[in-house]
Amino acid sequence: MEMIDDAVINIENLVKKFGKFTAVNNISFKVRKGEVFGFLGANGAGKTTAIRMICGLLEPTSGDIQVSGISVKKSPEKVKQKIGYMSQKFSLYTDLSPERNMDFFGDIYGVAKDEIKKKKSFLAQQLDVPSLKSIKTADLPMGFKQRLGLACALLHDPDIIFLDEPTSGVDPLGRREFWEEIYRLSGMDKTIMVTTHFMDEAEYCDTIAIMNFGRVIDIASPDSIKKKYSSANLNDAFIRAIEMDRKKMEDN
Amino acid sequence: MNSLIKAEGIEKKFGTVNALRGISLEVSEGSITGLIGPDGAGKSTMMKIALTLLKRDGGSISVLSVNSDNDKTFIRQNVGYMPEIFSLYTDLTVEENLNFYFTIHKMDKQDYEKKRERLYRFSRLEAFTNTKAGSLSGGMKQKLALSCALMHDPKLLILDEPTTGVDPLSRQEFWGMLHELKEEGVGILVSTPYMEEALKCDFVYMMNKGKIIGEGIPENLSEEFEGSLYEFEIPGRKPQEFLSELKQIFRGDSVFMSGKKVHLALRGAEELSDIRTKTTSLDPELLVRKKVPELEDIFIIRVLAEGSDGND
Ligand SMILES: Nc1ncnc2c1ncn2[C@@H]1O[C@H](COP(=O)(O)OP(=O)(O)OP(=O)(O)O)[C@@H](O)[C@H]1O
Ligand SMILES: [Mg+2]
Repeated sequence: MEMIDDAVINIENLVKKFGKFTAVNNISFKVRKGEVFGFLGANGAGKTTAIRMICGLLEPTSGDIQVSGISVKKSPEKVKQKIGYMSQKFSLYTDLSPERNMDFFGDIYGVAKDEIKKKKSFLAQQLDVPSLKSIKTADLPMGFKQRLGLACALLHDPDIIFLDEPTSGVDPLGRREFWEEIYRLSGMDKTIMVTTHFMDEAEYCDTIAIMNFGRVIDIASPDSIKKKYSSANLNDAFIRAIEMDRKKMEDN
Repeated sequence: MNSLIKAEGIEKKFGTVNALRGISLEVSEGSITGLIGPDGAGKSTMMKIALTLLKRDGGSISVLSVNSDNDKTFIRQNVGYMPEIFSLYTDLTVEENLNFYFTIHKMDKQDYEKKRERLYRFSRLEAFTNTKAGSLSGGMKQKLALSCALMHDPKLLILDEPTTGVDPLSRQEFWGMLHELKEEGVGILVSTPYMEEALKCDFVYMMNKGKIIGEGIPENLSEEFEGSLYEFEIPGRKPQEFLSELKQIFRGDSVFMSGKKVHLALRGAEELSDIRTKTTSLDPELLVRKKVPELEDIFIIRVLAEGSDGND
């Protein structure tokens, strides 16, 4: 096995079963500090399930994860302080204002009041709106909701950030703005693990992993993945990777 | 070709917000018509008006050749619709969900078997027939909802961002299915944030702030661009590393990421050599090329030029 000293996430033989069904089938890999790690895969491959286990929100059937050297199995609460998580259908309170949402999530993480205030004005400035008070979150355009979701996940200033399909349903411009924000965070040495079904976004990652049917079938840089599948772009490479893996499974 | 939707000068207000400002569009039999535009452009609103789910404030529209003011029930029964925010029966299994849609549309049993098989081939949900819809992954739910929308045999399909969260291979299979339906004569109106999907449409309307800002065969839309587009790349470096420098240099113009490259759109024509001179301070490895804009470029350039609104 390759040695990576600066691994901030170390996943070892992670398995999750729901009844007889194996959703995550013995996956192991490491994520380096400061990298943008793209987690790709077919629908139902197990990405969300894996992320929820890494974040300590779902108990593995077997295996463990070390986050900054801390075992998620032994100290899930300690790990939760270090990570920010934005779920696939993220859980903002849509009938509250963006401001109230930030207060709420700030409270959960025990963030100081003046720190929350700072973060609020930063978000208002980024989104170019005078106030986050007078609107209902439900009425925000999708791109704004995602940015608010991200701001809530970042309130306690975590080192590691998990974003599960942050740009699904966001238009081409909004997606670019979101990615510029991801780079800003990455520039602050934060580690980011992000899932997406947009292959041009996968191109922006340092490393990508492709999952199919509970397993990680590839893990490499975008360029090496394209080379491996002799594809000009990641969309074609992805399709080939999944098709080849399905064929292999059918042959067995 | 018969027209299935013919809308002329549609207006819609929500309070003080002008959601639609004179939209005219047409959807024909046996063709795929795409609607693209940023959040809040009015795509979903237009679709809901065609479905008679929302009242328009002005303009005229006929759907399936009937007047949509008098024949609401006929339209709702004969148009297949997949809303942006859909609902499934989460405590029913995959199979029960499909079967439910089959039952309400009073379809022929044999027809059902055939459809069901075709839909499972696309969705790959056959191994999950007895799984409760509530415990499917996000993309699997989306695919099940899509399958339900395709369960009946409508002449007109209206699909609002149907492939959100659907993986690239399934998206390809889904579009293959849309093409089969088109060959059978079905007319399809579909919105999408994926420009590679817009390219698969026969005709595209580009919307922004409640207006149509461009329309045509997707390949031709980019020909209307009068400015010039340049592409920057530094081998071995990521676009985000030199994006902000380029934004500084070309302040006031559109500079945006595109895969591994950064694109610059200028309103007028400018010589490649001038662009090179302006960017000498960057990495000596910087590559600059003039480029024919693609649909995504056109989309971004147009929206950046006009600004976008925020409600849909
Ligand atoms: N609580 C649960 N009970 C039963 N099965 C589950 C449960 N949660 C997830 N699964 C199953 O585990 C598999 C993996 O789901 P997961 O949500 O991790 O996929 P994903 O890779 O995130 O897919 P997508 O790209 O569609 O979001 C799916 O087959 C799903 O049906
Ligand atoms: Mg998921």
